[in-house]
Amino acid sequence: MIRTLNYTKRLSLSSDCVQINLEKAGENNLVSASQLRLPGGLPPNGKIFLEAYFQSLFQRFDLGTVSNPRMPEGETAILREFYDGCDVQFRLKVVDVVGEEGRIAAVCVRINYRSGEDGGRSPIIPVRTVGNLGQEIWRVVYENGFILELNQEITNIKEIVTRDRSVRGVILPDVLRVVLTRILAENLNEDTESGPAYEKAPNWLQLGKTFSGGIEPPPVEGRDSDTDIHTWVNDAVRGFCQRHLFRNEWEAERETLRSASADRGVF
Amino acid sequence: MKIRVMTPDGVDAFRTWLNGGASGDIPAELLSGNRETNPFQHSLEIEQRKFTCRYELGSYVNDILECVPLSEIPRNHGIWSWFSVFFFDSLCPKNPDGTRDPKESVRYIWDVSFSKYYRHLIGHTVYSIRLYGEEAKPLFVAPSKRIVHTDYCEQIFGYQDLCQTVSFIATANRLYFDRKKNQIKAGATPNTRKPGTVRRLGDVFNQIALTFDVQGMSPEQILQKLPQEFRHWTS
Repeated sequence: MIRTLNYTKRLSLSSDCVQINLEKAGENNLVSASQLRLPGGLPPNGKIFLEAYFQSLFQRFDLGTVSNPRMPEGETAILREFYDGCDVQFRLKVVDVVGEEGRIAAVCVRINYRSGEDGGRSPIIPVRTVGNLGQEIWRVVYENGFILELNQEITNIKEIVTRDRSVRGVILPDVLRVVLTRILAENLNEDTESGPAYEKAPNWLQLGKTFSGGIEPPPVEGRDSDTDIHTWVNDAVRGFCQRHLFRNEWEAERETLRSASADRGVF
Repeated sequence: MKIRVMTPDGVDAFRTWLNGGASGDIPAELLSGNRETNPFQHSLEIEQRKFTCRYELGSYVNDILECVPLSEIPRNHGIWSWFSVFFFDSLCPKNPDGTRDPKESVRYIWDVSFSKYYRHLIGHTVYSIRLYGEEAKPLFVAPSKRIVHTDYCEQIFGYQDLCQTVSFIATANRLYFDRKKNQIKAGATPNTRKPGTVRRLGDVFNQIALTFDVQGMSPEQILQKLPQEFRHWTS
C-alpha cells in the first residue's frame, strides 16, 4: 500500500483550476491563462506561479497573489526557448510567503493547454519528433502518458501526419488501436500498487465508446482474456475510420496527386 | 568557415559513417556537400580551436550563436550534427593508426528523447550554458582534459524534472564541485544510492520540491534543508 505523507496540508488543485491557451503570434507562442478557480482557505498573500516545462526547459509566469491575481500579457506572456515539437506541460503553484516561506500551499501538475493550432482543442496525445528511429516513421511510447513520437529526420513530419490526408488515415487508426489495447490489457485505467491510474485513460475509453457505437469497454471482471479487448478495440477503430472517412480521404488525395502528376506530364 | 546545417540526407550519411567506425579523415561532403548540408540562415563564421573540456567548446559555440535564440535552433535542428562533424577531431580524436573510437551516436547526432537528449556533446552544452549560466560549468569539465560526457552530467540530468531548477544544479555544484581543482570530488557519483551522493541528492531534492517552492529558493536555503548525510561535502 502506498502511503503519502502531507504534514504541510498542501492542497491538490483540480486540473480545471485554470484554463491555459497557447496562441501563435508571429514567431512567438503566447501563453494566456483564464478562469482561475482557487479554493478558499489559501493564504491571501500567497503567490501564484504558472510554470511551463519540458525536459530541462523551464519558464515561470507570475500570476500575482491569491487576493490579487493577474494574468500574463504582452512581453511577459511569451513562451521563450520552447521550440515547436516540445511537449510543453504546465503546473500551477500557490506559494506561502508569510508562514514558512517558500512552502507550497497548493499545486496542480500536468495541466493541459488548449492550442490555437488545434482549433482550441486540448490534444489527447502529445506529438513530438525524436531521433534514432532509423527507418521507423512513428511509434507510440508511454511516459506517464501516451506520446506519439515521429522520426525527426523526416522534414515537416508533424505537419504531414496531422494534416496530410493521404498519411493520417494510415497512421492515426493504429495509434488509437495501440493506446486502447494497452490501456485495457494493462489496466492503466485503474490504480495499482505500481502507481496511480493513467489520468487520460477515461478520455480515451470514452472516445473508444463513442466510436464503437456506445458499447462500454469490457470490464476487468469476467473479461474473456484478450479476445474481448480486441473485439471492442477493433469496433472502436472501425468507427473512428468511418467517422473521418479515411479511405475516401486517401483516395481523393491519391487522385489529386495523380492529376497533378499528369498535368506535369509524368505519365 | 561559414556555419552550415546538416540535411536529413547528411545526418543519414553521418550516422552511416559513425556506424562504420568513423575511421580516417572526416568526409568533406559532410561539412559542405550540397546534398548533405545547407547554408545556415545567419551568416556566421566558425574556426577550429583546441579545447580542454566540453564546457570550453560549448562556450565557444554559444558565443558564436549569441545572436540566435534557442527557439530558432531546436534540438532536432541540423546545425547540431554539423557542429559535431566540424569539431569531430576534438570530440573523437584519431588514434595513431588512423582509427577512432566513436561513442554512441547520440553524442554527435541529437536524440531528443527524454533519456538521451542530454548526451549531445555540443548542443546540450550550449543549451545548458544558456539555461544555467556559470552553474553549467561543473557539468562539463573532466580531469582527463578531454571532451566527454561525465557521470556527474549523466546523473544530474537523470532527474529531468529537477534540471528545470537552476537551484538544483547550483546546490549540487556547491556540494560536489571542487573549484580549486576544477573537477567533481571523488566519490560523488557512484552507481548506487550511497548516502550523500548525487543520486541521493536527486531523491531528497524531489522530496523537498514536494513541499517547498525550490524554483524560488537559493542554493544556500536548500542546503539548510538537506539532511545530515550531505554535511561532509560542505565541510
